[in-house]
Amino acid sequence: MFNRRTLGKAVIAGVPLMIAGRGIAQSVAGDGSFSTPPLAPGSNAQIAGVKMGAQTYCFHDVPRGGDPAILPLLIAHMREVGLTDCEIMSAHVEQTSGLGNGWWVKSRELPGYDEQRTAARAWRLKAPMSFYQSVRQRLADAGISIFIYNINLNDTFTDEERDACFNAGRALGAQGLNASTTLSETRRVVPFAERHKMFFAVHNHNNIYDEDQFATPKSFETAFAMSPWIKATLDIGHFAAGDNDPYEFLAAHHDRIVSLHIRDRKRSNGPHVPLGQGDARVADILRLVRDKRWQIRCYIELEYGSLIPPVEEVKRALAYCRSVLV
Amino acid sequence: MIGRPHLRKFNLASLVLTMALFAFGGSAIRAQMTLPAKLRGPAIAGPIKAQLERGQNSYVMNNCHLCHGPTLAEARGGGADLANSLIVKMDFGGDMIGPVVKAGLPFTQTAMPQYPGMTDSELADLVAYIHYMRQQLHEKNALAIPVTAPASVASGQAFFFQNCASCHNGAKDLSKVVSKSDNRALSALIIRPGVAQPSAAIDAPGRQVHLALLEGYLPADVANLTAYLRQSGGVLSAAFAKAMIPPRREISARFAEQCAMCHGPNGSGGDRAPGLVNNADLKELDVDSIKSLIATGLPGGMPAFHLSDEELNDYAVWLKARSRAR
Repeated sequence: MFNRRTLGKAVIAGVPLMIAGRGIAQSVAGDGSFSTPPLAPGSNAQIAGVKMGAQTYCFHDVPRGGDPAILPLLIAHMREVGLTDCEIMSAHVEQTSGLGNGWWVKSRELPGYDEQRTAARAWRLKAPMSFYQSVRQRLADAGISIFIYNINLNDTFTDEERDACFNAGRALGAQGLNASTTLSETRRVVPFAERHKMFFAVHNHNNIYDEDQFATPKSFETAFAMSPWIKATLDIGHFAAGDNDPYEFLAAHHDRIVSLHIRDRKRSNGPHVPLGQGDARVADILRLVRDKRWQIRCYIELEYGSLIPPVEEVKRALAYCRSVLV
Repeated sequence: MIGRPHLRKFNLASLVLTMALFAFGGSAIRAQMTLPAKLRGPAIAGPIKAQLERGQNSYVMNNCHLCHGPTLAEARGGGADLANSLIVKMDFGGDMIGPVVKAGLPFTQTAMPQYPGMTDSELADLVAYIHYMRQQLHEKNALAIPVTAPASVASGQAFFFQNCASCHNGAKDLSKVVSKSDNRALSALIIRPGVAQPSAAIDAPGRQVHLALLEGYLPADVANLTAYLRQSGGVLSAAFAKAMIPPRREISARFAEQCAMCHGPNGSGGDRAPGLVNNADLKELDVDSIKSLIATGLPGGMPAFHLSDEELNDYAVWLKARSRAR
């Protein structure tokens, strides 16, 4: 079990991890220079054949809106947790303000919203593809790929903006877009997904009272019927919180699901909890993906409260996934 | 990957060694195991520091910070702006915040989770922290208003008689304070007088009243109050105060301030509570029952409103009339 060879590997593996934290902090601060940190030992890119990754929202300490520290931090965090595949959120790509998306209806009431929304539209429409390609390249240089570009298309977007978002996704190297969105917006997006031949994966929350929101099997099935290019990013935690069974839904619709958000919550609009402590059947779902050899990406998305840094929580989440898969 | 024992051995060896290296790895790593201040919120001071720190931990551990912002000023992710929320403004000891936290808001865009397992003690800590943060923020914002800002003596007088005159009259008038203070000092005293300073006794008379006022000041209020006190010299006899008490405000204005955030404008319905116009349940209730309902609230839903009998009657009659509206 534990011979000289494995001992040597373990020491070599452990030392870089021990010093990684200090190196990352130094690389982000100061003059902005950045060198790719080492990938954590025992990469988590695949666990028992299951393709793992992260929704970059996980890393709550990463700034947004064009801050130059975004990509160095994202790369450092992804390398530190041993992941090489991600769904990148638009706030980690676009050089626009937090109000520039309009997805959160409440944000539309905030002072300065109209100006910021208009500025974000202008930015999206004129951002050159070389900008997105440079983001893709910087991540690729660190061994990280973007599978999905996450931008929450909604009724404040113009058709020109929707088109620009698909172009942006392609330039980032993504195979499709996903979004926290609505059924009515999905109808508007269908022609763009079909024209670009890129999937548009709808992501659920758990407002089961608003029939325009994605929260129930019916809402997903309605969207699937619109076009074969409509797919799902099933958020298993939110789905369980809406008193649905994500395992059953995955089993029934795995051919339309491109990614899972691996998170856990209690039923009946219950709180967010660490993996394995809620009602999302996380272990059953991961094992189902493993046993069926589905190529569905399993992206960690953390939203429970914690008093330790997000990157440490992602490690814990991945350790849980490993514990139920291996 | 599945069923390759040598990989399992390596993983186990790596894990054991890595854990050992972490355990003896020096202070650099352990120092990073604390949530960054930008996510956790600022350092706390004052006589109830211990309770506030428990509340801050609860705010983070229950995941409030990701939607409402760690300082309440950076609401994002669809959370309500607690720094300016009327529910928080009207809350006294958790009577408004508590029901919302425990029951959640399942009708909001992405459904605020419920926290039914939160104990009364945890809730008290959380509520104290929310109010503390709101007071800090409002104090900072109010102090930033220039003393030369345009002001209305009449508006200051109206505010004074609605909020201050019941205490500051007769022997407790403000003539000495006003005569000794320039406008900047007077504004600072209005914003946070001695009894509301962090160093003052927790049970000092008027402390809670002033902290509640501090949470509710609009930018113009302080300037208006300063102008009024300067002109009146702070000499306020009881007879004068009584004579100057303005007529009660229109019930619709009070409804807009106290009820509309849940029941919608003029009771047309909102995402947290039903409409009251032509409401079948209200039609069944007589005026006394409506008064009782407002005064006691509903378990797990509407909070109790501590109003005078006269105010309760105003509301009940007005609501009864609206329940018959067509």
